[in-house]
Amino acid sequence: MAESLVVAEHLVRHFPDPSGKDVVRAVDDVSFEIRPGETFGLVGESGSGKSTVSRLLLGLDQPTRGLVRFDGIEISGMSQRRLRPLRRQMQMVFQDPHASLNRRKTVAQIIGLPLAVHSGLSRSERDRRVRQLLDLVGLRPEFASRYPHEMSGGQCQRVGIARAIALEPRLVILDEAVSAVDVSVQAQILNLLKDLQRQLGLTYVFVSHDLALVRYMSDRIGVLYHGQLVELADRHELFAEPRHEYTRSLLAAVPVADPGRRATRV
Amino acid sequence: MTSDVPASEPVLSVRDLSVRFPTRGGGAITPVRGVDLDLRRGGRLGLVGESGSGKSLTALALMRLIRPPGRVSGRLLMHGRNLLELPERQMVRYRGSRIAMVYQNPMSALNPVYTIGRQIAEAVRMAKPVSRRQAHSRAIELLDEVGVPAAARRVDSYPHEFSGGMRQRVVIAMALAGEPDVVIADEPTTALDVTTQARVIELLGSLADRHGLSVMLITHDLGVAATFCDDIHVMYAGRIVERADVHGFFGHQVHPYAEALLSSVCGLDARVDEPIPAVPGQPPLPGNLPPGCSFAPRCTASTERCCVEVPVPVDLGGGREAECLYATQRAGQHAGALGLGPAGGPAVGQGGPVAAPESGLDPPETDEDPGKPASGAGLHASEGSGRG
Repeated sequence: MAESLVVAEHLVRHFPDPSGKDVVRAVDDVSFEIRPGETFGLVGESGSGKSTVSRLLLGLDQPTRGLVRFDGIEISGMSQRRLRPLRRQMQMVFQDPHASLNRRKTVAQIIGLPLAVHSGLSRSERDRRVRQLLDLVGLRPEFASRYPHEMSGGQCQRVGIARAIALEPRLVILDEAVSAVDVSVQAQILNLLKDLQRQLGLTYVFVSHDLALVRYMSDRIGVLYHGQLVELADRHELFAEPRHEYTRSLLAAVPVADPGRRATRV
Repeated sequence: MTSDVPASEPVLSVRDLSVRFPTRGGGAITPVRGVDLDLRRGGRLGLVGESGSGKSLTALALMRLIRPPGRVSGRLLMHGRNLLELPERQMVRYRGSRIAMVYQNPMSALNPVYTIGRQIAEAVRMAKPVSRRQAHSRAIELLDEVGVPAAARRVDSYPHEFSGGMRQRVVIAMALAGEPDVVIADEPTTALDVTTQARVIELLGSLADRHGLSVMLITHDLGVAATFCDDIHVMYAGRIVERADVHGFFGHQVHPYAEALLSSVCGLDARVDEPIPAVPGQPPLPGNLPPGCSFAPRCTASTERCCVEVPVPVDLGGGREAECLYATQRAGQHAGALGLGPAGGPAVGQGGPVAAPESGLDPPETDEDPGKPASGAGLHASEGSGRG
């Protein structure tokens, strides 16, 4: 088995309680490894700590205890300056497709920004790369001159994905990346993400509260509950034989589009 | 469609409901375009569709909460009266006591600076001339009924002291305060976690049964609709494009949009090694509808005719209707599920209309294969109505 791309070891992140007396244990001793080329799913409800874990993995936040290693390098406690060359290898796609794009910039500027910051490409080379990226995420070249408000949620999310993969990162964290788009468009985006993973050899962390989406996307899945990783298993194993009670209740709560099964539900 | 009179008098009948907004250039957009629907007494109608399909505007129009310059036309019939013709003073009394709404975001539906007891009591007093003290104790009863623990103590709490699920229970208590006949729930669980969602839907179901409420549930979540509803109406680009009872609908869909929508859902049974059958393209904007069928540009089965001819609703019998030029042929492919077999779709539900499946029997007009087996599509129709 190949060496892990990401290692999280006993991650702990406490935040001060609003009252000031106590601490909120947002992440409470979480350990896992992510293998290159796989999709690691993180599922949990709001407040379970999944977004905090994502931020810790990217070095956007520092753990109270524990550490994160990316490609063998310990990034926890690293200064932002030293972290910067690693940043291009790890990117994120956010939940709200409109809010995560600067509405004053064109699509070309949005996708071009990471290229301008991190790559030594000239302006015309950047433009060419932007067009390539648009093509890769299924947007016609004329989208380059559009502004976010001129696009639908699904189109904006494609731009967010193009921006995330612009620097050919190794790790992309998809934080509720399809939760805000409509069902019919959601399928398009999920298919696109899988295609891109195959083409570019990406490693994903797929963070979602939706167990069905996590199942579809992920090879291995971690279930977060109150800041703890209560279950970690291969997809098949997790769904065939959920061990933790919380995982089972999460599974039972997923509404199924089959009224024949509801006698036991409502 | 108006010809189809249901066996039991609907508690709410909507005819030709349209919502228009003027645009800056002097034109207008019509995000809701001639919606007809009947809510049966004690029925649970699911209005499903994606964002921008017009379902929330339909709900607001039913509550008469569309403000100028928006304009609502059509008829909203309740107790023999057209709500659109009521003077606002009377409508204020209707709202809450006859027809109430549960909103999507409980945090914005509640006023953060008043205790929840005060807000529920206000809703009680809007509907009934009772004293403050009586309204307050009624608020405690209501909180208790919607499953807020220690209601007598929690009644004096503020919304921010509640979790999302508990807040939504408070909003449901407010909707019940006026003892309405009809509750319109607009995405009541969308902002909630999945385990909380399941509990809130369960609560809504038991309250509806206990109080004989008729519920219109607006949702984009087909799983939630399948769990809760008796009838499904699918909305696309401001029109109801397919309606059927819940078992018939989930058994098979006649309208290509309904079919595509259902198959694009990434469920727990999705094949993980295959792409999800996505609906290509994007839904149209209300100001920019294609000529002909509004789904034609995204429809994999569309023909030249679809791009020029506007479809009208086709009655397929058994309470099913679809707005597609090829509805009859498409339904014919599933004839077994349309009342031909022993499964008999219309038997489901409480006294639903048992119309003869006229058009469902028609031979297909084109060269499509009529002999396609219905492949167990009718199996679901015989189950159900066993809701607890």
